[in-house]
Amino acid sequence: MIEQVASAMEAALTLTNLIAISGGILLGIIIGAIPGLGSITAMAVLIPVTYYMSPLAAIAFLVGVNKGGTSGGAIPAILLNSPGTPEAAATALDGHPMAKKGEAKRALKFAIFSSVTGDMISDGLLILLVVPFAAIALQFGPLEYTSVLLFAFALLAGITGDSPLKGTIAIFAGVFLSTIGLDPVHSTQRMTFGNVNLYDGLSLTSLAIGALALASVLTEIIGIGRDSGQESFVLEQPRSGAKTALPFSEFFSYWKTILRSSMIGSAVGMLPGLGVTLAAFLSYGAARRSSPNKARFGKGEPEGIIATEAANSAVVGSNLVPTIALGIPGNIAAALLVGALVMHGIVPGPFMLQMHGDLIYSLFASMLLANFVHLIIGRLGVNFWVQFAVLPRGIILPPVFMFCIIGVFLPSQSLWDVAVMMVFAGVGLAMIRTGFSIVCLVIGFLLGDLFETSLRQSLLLYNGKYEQMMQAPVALLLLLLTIGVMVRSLVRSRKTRQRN
Amino acid sequence: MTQCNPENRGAAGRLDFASGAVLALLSSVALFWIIPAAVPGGPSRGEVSPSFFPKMAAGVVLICSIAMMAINWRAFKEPSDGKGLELLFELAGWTAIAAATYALLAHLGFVAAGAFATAAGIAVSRYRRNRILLALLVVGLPFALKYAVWTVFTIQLP
Repeated sequence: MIEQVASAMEAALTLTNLIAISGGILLGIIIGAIPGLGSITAMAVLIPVTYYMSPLAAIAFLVGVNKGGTSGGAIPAILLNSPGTPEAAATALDGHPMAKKGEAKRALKFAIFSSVTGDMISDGLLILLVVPFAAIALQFGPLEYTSVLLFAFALLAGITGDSPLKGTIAIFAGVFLSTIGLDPVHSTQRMTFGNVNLYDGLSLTSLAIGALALASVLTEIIGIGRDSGQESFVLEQPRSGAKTALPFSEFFSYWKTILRSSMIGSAVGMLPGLGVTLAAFLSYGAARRSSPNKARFGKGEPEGIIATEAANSAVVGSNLVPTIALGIPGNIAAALLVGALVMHGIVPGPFMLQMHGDLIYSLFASMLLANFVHLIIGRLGVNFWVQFAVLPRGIILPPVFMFCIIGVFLPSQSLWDVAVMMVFAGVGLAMIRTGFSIVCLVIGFLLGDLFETSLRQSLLLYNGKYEQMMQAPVALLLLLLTIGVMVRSLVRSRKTRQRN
Repeated sequence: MTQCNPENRGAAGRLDFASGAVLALLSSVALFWIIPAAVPGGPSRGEVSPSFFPKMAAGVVLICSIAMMAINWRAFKEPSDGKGLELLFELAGWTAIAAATYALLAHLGFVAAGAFATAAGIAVSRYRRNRILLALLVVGLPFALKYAVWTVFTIQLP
C-alpha cells in the first residue's frame, strides 16, 4: 500500500503533470469566470486537446479544468450577480450582497477557500470509498448493472429538467442515438445507411461539444442580440476601508458548515445522475436552517457562500466514485471524463482498478495536489480574475464556434464529425428552448451501450424464467427504488402542474 | 412544463404539446420506418434481435411524447406567445449559418470558415463596440488558431 502511494505521488509530481494540473485549473477558472461559458463548456471543448497527452496528464488536466471551472463560476456570481453556471446562482445569493457592501475580496476568498476545502474532503472520501465500492461492483452481474442504470436514469429524469417525462424522453433519445453503428453482440450494422462514418456510431465528442458547449454559447449569443448587444452587469468593486482580509482562523470558525456542506456535496456526487446545482441548493438550504443567523442569509452572510461553494466543489471528487467503481458517471462532468478515459483506451468500471491501478492512484495523488495548486492560483489571482468576468460576451462568445470546430476536428480529423457537432448544436438549442435536459441526452447516449449489453445479457440469462430474479436481492432492491423514484417524481410533477 | 412566467403557462403548455407532437412523429418514423429498413435480420434461436434495443428506446420516446401531448392537450387551445415561432426562426438561422460555415470549411478551409462563423456570431449578438478589435478578431484569430494548431499538434486544419 505504502509503495503504491509513493509511486503514485512520484508519478503525480512530474513536471508535465504539474503543468497539466496548473494549466487545467488556470483555464478552468478563467473560462468559469466568463458568464455564458463555465466548466462544462470548457471540458467539452478541451477534451480533444488532451488526445495528445499521456492518460494521467490528460485526466489530471481535465480534473483541473473541472475544479477551476466550478470555483471560477463564483467570480461573476459574486462580482456581477451574474452566475456563470446554474450552481453559482446559490453563491450569488450571499456573495453579491457581500460585494455590494464593499467586501468583494473577502467574498471571493471565502469562495476559493470553501471550494478547496470541499474538494479536499471529497477527494479523501473518493480515495477511501472507491476500492470497497469497486469490490462490491465486481460481484454485480448483468441484472444488477441493468438495475443500477435504470435507477440512475430514474434519478436523472426525476431531478434534471422541467418534468420527469421530458427527462425520460431525453435519456431514451440519447440511448437510441447510441444504438447507431455496429450491434455490440452480433456486429451487424444498425442505421448506418452504408455510411462508413457511422460504423463506429456517433462520436461522443461531437455530440457533447455540439449539444452542451456550442448550443449554450448560441443561446447566450442570441440573448445578447435580444438585449441589443448591451451588457447589463454592474461590477462591484472593493471599497476602501472595507474588510478584505480573511484569516484562516475566521474561515475555519465555520467548520460545521464546511463539513456539512462537503458531506452533502459528496453524497450528491456519489449518486449517479444528480448534479452540482442540486448539491449547492441543498447545502444552502441546510446551512440556513441550522444557522443561528437565519435572517442574515441572502444579505451577505459568509456561511451562504461557504455552504454553496464547499458543496458544489465536493461533487467534483465524489462523482468519480460511481464513475470508477461502476463505470456510471455521477454527473455530466464525470460523463465527459468517461469520454476522455475511453479516448485514451481506458474503460471505466470495476476492472479499471485492477487493470489501471497505477494510473488511478496517480490520478488520486494528482487530485490532492491539484487542490493545493488551486488554492495558490485561486488566492493569488483574486485581483486578476475579475478582468475575465467583465470581458464583453459579444467579443468572447462568437470565436467559441471556431474552438468547437478545432476541438471536434483534432482527434478524428474528419469533417463528418464537425457536421454532426453542428447538427447537435441545433438539437441542443431546441432542447434548451423547450426545457429538455441536454445532460439527460448526453448521459443516455454515453450509457446506452452499457445499458444495452447488460439488458440483453439479463434477458438471455433469465430467458423468460423471471422468478429466478428473486435470487438477486440487490437488483430487486434497486428496481424497487427505481419505481419509487419514478412515482415520486411523477406525483411531484403533477402537484406542481396543479399548483400552476 | 417549459419554464416561463406564471401568466404564460398556457402558452408554455402549448409549446410542450407541439414538442410532444414533433417527438412523437420523429419516434414513429424511427420505429416504423428507419429501424425496420436499416436494422437487418431477426435473432438467432434464443437470442435477442439487434433491432430490439433501438425499438425499445424509440418506443419509450414515443409513449412519453404521446403522454406529454395528452397532459398538455388543454393548453393547445391557449393563445401562442410566439416562442415556438421564435425557436423555428432561430433554428432556421442556425441551419443557414452552420451550412455556410461547413461549405466554407470544406471548400475554402478553416480560415474562411472561422472568419465567417465569428462574423456571423458578432452580427447575431449585435455587439457594436470595439469595432477595430472585432475586425481583428474576425480576420486575425482564424489565422492565429490555424498556425497554433499546426505548431502545437502538427495537424493541418482544412
